[in-house]
Amino acid sequence: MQSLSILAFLIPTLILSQGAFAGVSPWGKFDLSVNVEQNYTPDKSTAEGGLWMLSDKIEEATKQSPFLVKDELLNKRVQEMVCQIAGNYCSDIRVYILRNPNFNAAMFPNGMMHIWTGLLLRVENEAQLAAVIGHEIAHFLKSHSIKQQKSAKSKTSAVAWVSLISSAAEAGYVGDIFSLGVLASVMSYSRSHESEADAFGIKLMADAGYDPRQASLVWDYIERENEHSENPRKRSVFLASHPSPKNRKKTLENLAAALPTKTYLSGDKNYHLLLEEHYPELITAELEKRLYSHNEFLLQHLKSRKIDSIPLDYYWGIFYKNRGGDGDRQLAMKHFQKAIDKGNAPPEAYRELGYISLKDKKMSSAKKFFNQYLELLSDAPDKEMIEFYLNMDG
Amino acid sequence: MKRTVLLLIITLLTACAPYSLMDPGSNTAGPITFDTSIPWNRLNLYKPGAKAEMWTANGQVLDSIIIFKGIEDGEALFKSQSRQDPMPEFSSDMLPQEVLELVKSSMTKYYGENNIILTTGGLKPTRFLNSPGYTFDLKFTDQNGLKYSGKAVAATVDDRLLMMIYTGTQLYYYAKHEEEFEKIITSATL
Repeated sequence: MQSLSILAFLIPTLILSQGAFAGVSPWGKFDLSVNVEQNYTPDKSTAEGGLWMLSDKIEEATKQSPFLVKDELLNKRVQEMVCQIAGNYCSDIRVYILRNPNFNAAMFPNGMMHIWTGLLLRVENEAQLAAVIGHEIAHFLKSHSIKQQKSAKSKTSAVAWVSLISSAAEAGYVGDIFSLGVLASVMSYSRSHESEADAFGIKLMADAGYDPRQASLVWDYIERENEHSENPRKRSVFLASHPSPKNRKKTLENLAAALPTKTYLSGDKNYHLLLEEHYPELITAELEKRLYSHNEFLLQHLKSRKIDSIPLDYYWGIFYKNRGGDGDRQLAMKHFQKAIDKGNAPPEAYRELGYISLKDKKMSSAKKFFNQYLELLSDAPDKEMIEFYLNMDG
Repeated sequence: MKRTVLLLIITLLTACAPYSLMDPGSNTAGPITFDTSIPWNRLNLYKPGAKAEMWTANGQVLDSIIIFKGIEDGEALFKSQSRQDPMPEFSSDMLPQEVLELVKSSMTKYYGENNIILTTGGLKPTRFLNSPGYTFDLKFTDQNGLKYSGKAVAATVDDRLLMMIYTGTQLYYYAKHEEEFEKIITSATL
C-alpha cells in the first residue's frame, strides 16, 4: 500500500498555527499522512484482502437490511458531507444509516461506514456530525483496521474480528452483530489510533469548512450521557470501542484552537431541517428503551437545543407516564396539556390526557379528551378501545 | 440395580427434554386452562420470562405462543438480557394501552433493538378468561427481513396480568394457526 502524503498541503497551515503558539502546537505529534491510495483494493490472496471481502459481504447484507434508513434526502446530504470531508476519497467511502436508538458509527476496512440513528438524534448540528464522519474517515485513510490486524499485540483481536465478521456475513446477521456491540469492541483501535483519528478527523472536518470546535462537544456529550445512564459502569457501545481519556476533550479543544481562524460552518438550521421529520421516530425509539435516567438526560439535551418543531412537552409527558413514579402522573398531565396549549401536540396527547383522567376516575373529563382524540384522528388504530371508554357509564 | 439406574437416567433425560409434546385436548399453563386441537410443543429449557412459557407447533422461529402466567406488580414480562439494561415492569393499575406499550418495549429489548422492528396497533376490548380483557396486533421484522404477524390477548385479574401472545411468519405460519389460537383464547379459563 503506497503512502500518499498530504503533508505538503498541511505544512503551511501548521507553520501558521505553530507561529501563534510559539512552537507548542498540539498538531506536532501527529502524522497526518494518508496510507491508502484512491480506489484501492487489496490483493484477494492477502490477509487484508480477506478482511476486505468479508466487509464486502457485510455490505451486501447491509444493503438488504430492514434497519436501513432509506430517506433519500437524508442519505444524500450525509453522503454529500462524506464527500466534502473525504475529498478525493469520496468514491471510496459509502455511508449507510441504520435504525438503532444508540450512539454509534463504524468504519469497515472496505470503506463502508455505518451511522446509527441514535447518533443523528444526539449530535446538534452538521459540524458535530462532520466530526464523527471525519473521525471515521481518518480510520480509513490511515488504514487503522489493517494496521490493527498486522499488529502482533492485537493478533487475538484480529482473529476474533475475522471469525466474528465471517460468521456474521455467512448468517447475514448484520443487525445481530451490532446489537451485541461485540463487533465494535473487537474492532476497537489502539489508543494511539484513536488519538490519530481524532486529530486527523478534526483536520478533515475543518478543511471541509465545518467548525472544528464542535468536535470536542460530541465526545463531551456522550461521556456526560454515559454518566447519567442507569449504570454508569456500562459504557455506550461507542465509548466501549473508543477509549476516553480524561484529557481527550482538552486535546480536541487545543487542536481546534490551533487551526487557522476563519469562518466555519456549524450548520444548526440545516441539520434541524434535515432531521425534522425523523425526530418523532428517533425520540420515540429512545423513550421506548425506558432507561429513565438516560431518557431524562437526552430530553434535557434536546430542550437546551430549542428546536421549535419538536413537541418536546409531549415527549416529557410520555417520559413521566412511562416512569410512573410518585407524582409522575401529575407531571405527565401538565406536560401533555402544555404541548396542547402550544399547539404542536400530536393527537395522542389528548388520548393520554383521557387515560390520566380515567385513572383519576374523572370520567367526564376522560370522555372529553377521548372525543377530541377521535375528532383529530378519526381512523385511530385504537378507535374501538376508545369507543369502549366513551360508552362506559359515568 | 441396573434397572433402577436406567430408569433414573430415563427420568432425568425426560425431565431435561427441550420440548414436551402437549397433546390435543385440555391443557394448562400456570393457572390457565385451555383447549387445543393440534399437538403443540412446550419449550422446557427456554423460558422467555420468570412467569412465562413458550409453546410452538412448528418450531419457535416459525410460530409460537408465549403465555404469561400471572405477572404481578413490579415484575417484568421477559427476562432481561443484560444487567445494565433492565426490563420495564408491570404495574397492576396499567390500562390496556400501557400494557401494549409495555409489551412493545419489553419485546424489543428481549429480542434486541437491532434484531427486531416491532409495531403494535389495533387495540380493542374483548373477553378473556371470563373477564374484561383486550387484544392488540403486533407486526415485526427480524434482522434478516423475515416478517411476522402477531396477536396478544390479555386481562388483569386480581392484580395479575394474564396474557397470551401468538406470533408466526406472515408467510404461511401465522395464518395456519390463527384459528387454533382463537379457539385457545376463547376456551381459556382460570
